[in-house]
Amino acid sequence: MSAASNIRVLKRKERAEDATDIALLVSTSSKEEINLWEKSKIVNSLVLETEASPDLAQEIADRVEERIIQGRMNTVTTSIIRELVDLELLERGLGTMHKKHSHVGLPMYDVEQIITSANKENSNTTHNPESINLTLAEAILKEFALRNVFSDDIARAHMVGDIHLHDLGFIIRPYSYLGDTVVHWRVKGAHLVFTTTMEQLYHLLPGENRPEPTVRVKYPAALEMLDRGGNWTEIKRVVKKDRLGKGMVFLATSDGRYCVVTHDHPVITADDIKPASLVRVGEELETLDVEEGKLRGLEEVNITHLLEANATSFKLRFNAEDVFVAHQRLQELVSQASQASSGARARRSRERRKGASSPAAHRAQVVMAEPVEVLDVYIYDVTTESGTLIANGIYSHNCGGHSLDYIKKYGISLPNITSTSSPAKHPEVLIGHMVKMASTLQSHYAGAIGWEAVNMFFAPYLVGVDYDRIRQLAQMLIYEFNQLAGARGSQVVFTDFNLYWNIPRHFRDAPAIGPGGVYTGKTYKDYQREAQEFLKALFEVYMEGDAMGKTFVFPKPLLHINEDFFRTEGHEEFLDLACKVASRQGITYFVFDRGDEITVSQCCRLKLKLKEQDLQEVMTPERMRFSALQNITINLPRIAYKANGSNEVLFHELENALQMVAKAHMQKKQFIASLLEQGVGGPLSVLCDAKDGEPYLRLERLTYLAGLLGLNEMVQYHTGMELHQSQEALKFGLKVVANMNLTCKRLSEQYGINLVLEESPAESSGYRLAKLDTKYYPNQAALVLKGDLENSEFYYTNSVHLNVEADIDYIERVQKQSLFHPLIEAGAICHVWLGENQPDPESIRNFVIKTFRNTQSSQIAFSPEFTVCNDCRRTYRGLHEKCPNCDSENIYGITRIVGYFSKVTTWNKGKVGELKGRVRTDLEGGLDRAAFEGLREAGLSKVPSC
Amino acid sequence: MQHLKVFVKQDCQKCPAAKEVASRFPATEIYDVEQADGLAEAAYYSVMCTPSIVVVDEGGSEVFAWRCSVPTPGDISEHIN
Repeated sequence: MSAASNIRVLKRKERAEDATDIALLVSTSSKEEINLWEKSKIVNSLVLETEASPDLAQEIADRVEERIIQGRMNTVTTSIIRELVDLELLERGLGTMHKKHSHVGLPMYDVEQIITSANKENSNTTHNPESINLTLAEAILKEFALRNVFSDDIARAHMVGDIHLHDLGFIIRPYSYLGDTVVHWRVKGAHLVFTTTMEQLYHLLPGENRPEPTVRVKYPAALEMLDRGGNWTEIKRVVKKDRLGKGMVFLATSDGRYCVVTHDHPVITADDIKPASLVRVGEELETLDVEEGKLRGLEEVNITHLLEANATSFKLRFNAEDVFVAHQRLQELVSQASQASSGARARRSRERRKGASSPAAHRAQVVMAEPVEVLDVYIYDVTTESGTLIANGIYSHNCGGHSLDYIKKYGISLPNITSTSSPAKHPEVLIGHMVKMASTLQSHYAGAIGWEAVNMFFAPYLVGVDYDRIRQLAQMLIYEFNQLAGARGSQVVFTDFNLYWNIPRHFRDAPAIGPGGVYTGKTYKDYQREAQEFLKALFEVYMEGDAMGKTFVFPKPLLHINEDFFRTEGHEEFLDLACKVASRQGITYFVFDRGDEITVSQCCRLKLKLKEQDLQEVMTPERMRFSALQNITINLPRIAYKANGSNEVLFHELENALQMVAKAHMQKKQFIASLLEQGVGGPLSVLCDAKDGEPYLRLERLTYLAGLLGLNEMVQYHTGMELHQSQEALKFGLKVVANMNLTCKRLSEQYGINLVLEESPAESSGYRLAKLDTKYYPNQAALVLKGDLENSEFYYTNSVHLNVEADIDYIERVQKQSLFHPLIEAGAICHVWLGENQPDPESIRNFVIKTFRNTQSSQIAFSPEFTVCNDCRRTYRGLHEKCPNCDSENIYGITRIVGYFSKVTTWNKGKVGELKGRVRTDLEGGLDRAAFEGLREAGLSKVPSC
Repeated sequence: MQHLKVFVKQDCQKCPAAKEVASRFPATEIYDVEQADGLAEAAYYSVMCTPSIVVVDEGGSEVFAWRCSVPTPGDISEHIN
């Protein structure tokens, strides 16, 4: 008997068939199986997992067997075998194979630590079974991402702390027509019209682009497509996409036309634009009699008959039985409907003779609207200048933050929730829908869920409702979101409400959606009174705080201040209320929109500017949603250490870092796109599923963030001065950020993404990067790190902020920090740390107005500190060692960590260090207008250098 | 001595006129806001559009500014020492 036959293998079912098997695996010894040694299993696993040649795999397996025998191991586990194989791969220099073959897991000790001690990476994550699951999963996914999603250089830059890759996230899904959809097109202004299928049109065009693995695009030059009423519209692009198993809907009309579109394709009915899956029999679609074209003296070339020669012809597309049944039914329905509408047709033809304005347009009833099974691999779409076209003779739509209107219009219908709700009829139900949508979204997004213009979108539900009930609804909304934050366990539902006193200009004329998801016939400007009452009620609830009087943490109210705000009646009184809330509870964010700027804010300071394409959606606000794919933070002090005083090296390293950020974004984007290939059955089906014709998450429309950390320490190391210490230092800081701003613009063009700078909140990454610098650049870091180095409570100053410990006036602080804000397009904020002070609301009001008028600040927030006593159940101003009332030590402190309030006990060491150093203000001296304006006039150069 | 800082960029219709007016005064500095140095300087003086002309004193502090507009030589003379 050979030595190998004595080996017993303890096998944990690691090679389980699917995720469910893996999840069900309980790794106790009682569950283990004992197998006999089979060397061929090593060979098979190497060939399968690493694509090694059978010969090489055999050689490695031989060597591993030899080692086991030499080591006199009678029993080995599969993980030991895997380690031995890995060792063999590494010894042979087969790094890529090793990467593919290696094990992603956690040491026993780490798992124990995760279970027994709280994870302080995010202070909004409490320690509970769900958050333990989250931490365990995150540990594995982070490792997976670094090994499998990002390339080695990016992963290495993250590991050593040059950059920090934040979180994971998003997806897109195609929506479109089947390839045999007939369209009519011509060379711009030409006499000859071609009638072809979309598939034919696509293949006739030259030059294919592949923006995504599953998407192919062609850009025709000077072609036009037949549009509504026989008009022509320019073709922008023709797209061919992998269908990825997406459901299709068969729509047929009473005049015998049909169209097969994706279930979420927007269909233009007589009174609405809705997803194909919601179109019902009896509704009217607009159709076009293409023969009308001839009346205009055009010559038509029809090549659609060539379709029969095509492998994906109509007949092949359906199951044989379905085709027969569908055709038969369609014939019946069309004939019934034709009889019913023959009167209407006669009337129409009379109108046409009279010379109606749009002679080619007719209304036809939908006679069939049903899901169909198709075998097509590809779907097609044509984007036109007008956004519409005539497809199979039917007037159709093509198209390209989170809006409450989406839920109001479509109700709640999510792939992972078994029951479907119709649009809410009552405000309480609408709140319920919002909470569920937010909760579902939070399990798909890494960051905050921001809601646009909440009080305005809510307003149509509040017509005729008395103020007491409005107040009750406001209370319900805040409590539901607030308590949902903790109730879910795991990651908190981080919610932001964008709020307006004045109906924002861009929404004024948008048709309002009311109870039951029905358009009310009014526009949002008609609901200003209700919107204001609701806003007032929300702030009154914020003012009161919870049952213990303490501030709410979520949802964060982001009050937008713009010129129209000051022109709107009642703004003074309301601003007083908002400032009282800021002074007492601190939760208010003041968001400044200057000029024509329109923004949606979320997260700690993310502020996304609406672009022209976004603004086209304001008339259908339910379609508005914005997010960022990923934030990657650049460790700025590290660049200064590398540059060692050389400007040339510093700017070269900055360029390198941003290049790396762009590259990492593209890798992440590709990974998310690859998840798409799993289609609707994939892991991100919720984000795919939109009712308005587009995936809920639109990969092409996302913002890609480059975060900044520690500009102050970078400048300090490089110039010898901190940002607040000299004009030169401040100007050098501006030069760094201006340089990054321009580089982002260049890289955006190069990679076809919207890469912009953000002030990274860097709650945990700031500490992580500082800690790595104490390891790799200990001497340099020691010179500039802030906080208490001995107790490891050190940190880098947040983003481009001035040193929180610098004893400078807050007016000057805000003024100087705001200089950076126009360069940081995806969001910047000025924090005013109040400590135990409770300034006069009048002071806050003046500060807010002057910040809006005299600086370029994007956002400002005032942060008091509180102590909550668990024994006397009361909240006190300031952070105390003991309860100021009953001397109890059973207390906890609350204040703003980065963008939100949380318990100080949950903060990481770096943030604790920062908290100790924060200079607080009572805003005394902030009232003097001359002082505020004088700063600019007198010039920043007057700031003494020290 | 006080002098002028002019902020311009390419494809800006009024920028050549601003440069021309400012060049009549001694020690005028011209900044292209599409370059890092120019953009940083523009941010420092809260210049959000072109053309803009800022009068600064010897310490670099703003004395007067025309943001998004072109002053006449007479206007400038009134505000510069």
